[in-house]
Amino acid sequence: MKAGERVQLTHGKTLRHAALALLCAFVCLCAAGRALAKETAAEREAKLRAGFLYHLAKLVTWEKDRFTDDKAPIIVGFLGDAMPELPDYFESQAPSYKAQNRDMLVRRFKLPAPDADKSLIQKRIGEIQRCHILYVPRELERDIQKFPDLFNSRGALIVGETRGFTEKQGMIGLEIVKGRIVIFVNRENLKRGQLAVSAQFLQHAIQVDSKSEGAGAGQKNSQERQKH
Amino acid sequence: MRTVCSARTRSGSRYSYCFRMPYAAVLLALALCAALTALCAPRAAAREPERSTFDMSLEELLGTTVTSVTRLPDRSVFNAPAAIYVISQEDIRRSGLLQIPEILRLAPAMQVERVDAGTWSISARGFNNRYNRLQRVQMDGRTLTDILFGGVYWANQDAVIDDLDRIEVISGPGASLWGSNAINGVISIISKPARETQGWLVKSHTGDAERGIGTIRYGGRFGPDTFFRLYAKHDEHGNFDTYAYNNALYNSPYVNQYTEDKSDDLYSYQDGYRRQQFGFRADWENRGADSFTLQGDAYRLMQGDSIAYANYTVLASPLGLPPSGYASQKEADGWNVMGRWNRELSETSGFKLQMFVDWNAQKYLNPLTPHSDKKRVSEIDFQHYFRAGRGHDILWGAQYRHDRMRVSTNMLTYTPETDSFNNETISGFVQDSFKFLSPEMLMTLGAKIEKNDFTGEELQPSMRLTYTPNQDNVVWTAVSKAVKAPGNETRANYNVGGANVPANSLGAGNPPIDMWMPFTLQGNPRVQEEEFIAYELGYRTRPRADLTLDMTAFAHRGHHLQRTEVVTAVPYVVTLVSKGAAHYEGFELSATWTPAPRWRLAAGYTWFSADEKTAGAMPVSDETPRNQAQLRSYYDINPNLEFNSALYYQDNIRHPDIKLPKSLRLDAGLTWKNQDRGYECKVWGRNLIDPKYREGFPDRYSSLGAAQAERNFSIEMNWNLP
Repeated sequence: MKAGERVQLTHGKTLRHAALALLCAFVCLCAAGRALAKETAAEREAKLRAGFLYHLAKLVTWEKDRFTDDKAPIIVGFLGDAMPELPDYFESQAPSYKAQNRDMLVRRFKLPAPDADKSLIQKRIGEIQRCHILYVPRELERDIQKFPDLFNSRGALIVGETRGFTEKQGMIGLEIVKGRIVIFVNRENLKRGQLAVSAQFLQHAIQVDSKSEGAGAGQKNSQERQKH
Repeated sequence: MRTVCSARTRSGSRYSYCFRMPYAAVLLALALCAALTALCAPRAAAREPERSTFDMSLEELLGTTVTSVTRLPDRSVFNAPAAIYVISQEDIRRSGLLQIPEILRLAPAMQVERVDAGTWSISARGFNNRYNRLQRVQMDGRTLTDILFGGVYWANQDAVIDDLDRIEVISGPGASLWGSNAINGVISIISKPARETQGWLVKSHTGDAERGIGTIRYGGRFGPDTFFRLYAKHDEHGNFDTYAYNNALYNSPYVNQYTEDKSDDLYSYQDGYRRQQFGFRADWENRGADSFTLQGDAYRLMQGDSIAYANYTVLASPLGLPPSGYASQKEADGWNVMGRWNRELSETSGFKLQMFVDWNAQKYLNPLTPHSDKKRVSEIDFQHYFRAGRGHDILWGAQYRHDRMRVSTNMLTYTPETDSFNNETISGFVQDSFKFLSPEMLMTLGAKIEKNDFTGEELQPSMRLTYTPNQDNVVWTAVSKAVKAPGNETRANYNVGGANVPANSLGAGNPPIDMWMPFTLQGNPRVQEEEFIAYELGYRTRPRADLTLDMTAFAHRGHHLQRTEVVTAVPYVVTLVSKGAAHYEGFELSATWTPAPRWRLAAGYTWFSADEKTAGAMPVSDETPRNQAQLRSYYDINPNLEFNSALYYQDNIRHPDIKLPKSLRLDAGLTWKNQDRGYECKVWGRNLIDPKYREGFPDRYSSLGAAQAERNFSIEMNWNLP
């Protein structure tokens, strides 16, 4: 065997050794990672937010025609997959609890593409509007403004994660400020949605007003875009 | 160092590409760290009561502390199957650093050596010297690599530091996406959109090292969707002190006479620089799914060069010529303009089309070896991503690049002889990410094929596997091949008037002392592409809401590396050959911890080991320390007052010719700010431990000595007006 061939063979053997070592270490780390997956910061945040949503389900008053009958469930919708732990946790807890003597049902939605077919957009928005509570993560607070029709329905409590969103289209904002969740409420938007929130909840909330780019702004922008 | 298996070359010299004990030890250590953390974590978790938050009252919920977990933008980084570190704008602001290469210190895996006032050696994973060519650096997608020598002229690169959004530093190969040059890392400097830089910014900085930096920027808007900003900037950086090594030549009286010369006049500087830059950026946003960006910059630079100064000083003194800082001066001008169009086709698809032109000219005024060059790079880049089939996220793209260069010199000639170059590079890549075996496993397969004028087609594949058991734990591994294609630098003949040739380079039959003699680096058109194979394993975890850990172990194998071969010892003529081989491995660790709401710590550690099989002009480990660590502290004394500090440790550098001792650098600064009124004042002290701090040296052959930064203080005032 020539020396050059020997180098090649040894190189191949080396590759196998390296690949084997990588595989072993990868498996060890995967096992460790799984063991670590007990509770994480994201899960803790999700649990906390789920607790607030449950209280909202108990303390918001919807008009009767928002339910088909007395036993119809409260539908809690979650937009996007920015925080999958939140709907996961809510779904895991919901069967053991009732709100206003109703079951709670979790639905997950994705926003349609802005340039998608109009009928498809309307269909998707119609599905989202059937929610009693719609949770909008902060990653989608800007995107959702591209669909002003979403805010025109009554009876859907729109819950966001920032004060800024609450000052626009949101009704309730659950924002983390200095390590704690602070509740913001926009009564104007609540009124627009024909919703009432119990004083028990409101006493913990900071009231914000709609800014000039508020509820109607999305619609106005949409009209401007259509003109262009 | 023990080797598990080895081989012999034809020439009989012992070397191996083999898997060695240190790498195994690193992998084992990584796995053990993870296992220990895993063993401890459930116990910690078990102490917390498992109580549904549905059972908690509103008061309890409101009283519970929680840390906001950064999501999608950061999640993509956290889950990335690569050793990536993001330097955020907050990190930049709190560091008080004002030059892009200095800011790169904040990335723990990067080794940053300031060679002199305007020259840096920057690299991750070895090969660190001022001529490092194995790293891709880009600003908003525009490559900053010089087409002549393949590295980056750092003093030529600048931006309004407050307008930077972040700097993403990837250590390790990124060739399957970015192509040649992305061997040991990719540095991506990303500026803020114009929407986020509205209003006036006035910034002034003065100190005894960075003499004066003034910036003015205005951001405005045309209508609801169109934003812009304009800026102008002026920098003046003073000289470093010169450190002469204990060598007969360096100790000669006429040399010392000049090396001790340190004038405050910037026009007679040795290594300081002065620079003016202005630029703009305009963004059209929210027009349906489209967004457009147009941006550009222009600059002028006058810079001293410590190598040219050293060469001139040594040669001119015996001839009775006066010392002259002008002799070492470099003048550079440049401009660039870039346009980008992004379109979102749907939630899961979109494309990006980007074009830029970058022009620059450099003129070296050293009377002994004057030369100048003009370079232009034009590039068009298209990328398209979409989802195909069952969860296959496809990203593909194509790129065309044209480099044009003209040189005018009596120092530099080319083989074949020419003064004008036109090089074309065409490339395409595809990357597919899909779930593999289980929903938590994500496989990413990618490859880039590139056709260049030097070596033809090059294929650079990579395979990356990510396991994400939950949002706070990510394990990833990767095997990649990357190629460094030779460039114009391999065809150049550098005829340097004189250089300090180390004794060990002269070979047998010559006196065992360093000698000063005419020096020529002879180009070789037959130089091959340099090949690298990289194995990486990484683990990121957030065991607690306030703690993030990121660990990476790596091993790289390099073949056909460029090295120098002596053609004649006197005069000293060397040429480039593709006979180098090396393997190097290491371990990178970074952590962030928030022990209190007002206090944040960031730490990093890098261990690096290289086994070089051949000596040469671009050794892997020449200027790369074995151990490197840093600790940064950000503390808010009150809402208006911050105390920020940083400690950097660098192990000694075992250069074959010059030794650099261990160094410890401490920077500390106070920031007083009034956010309501938009102004802040910073006072910084740097190199507080050692009055003179030395961390790099100019060049292996022609260095007279190393420049060293002195302890220095600065004050900065910023005004942000709406």
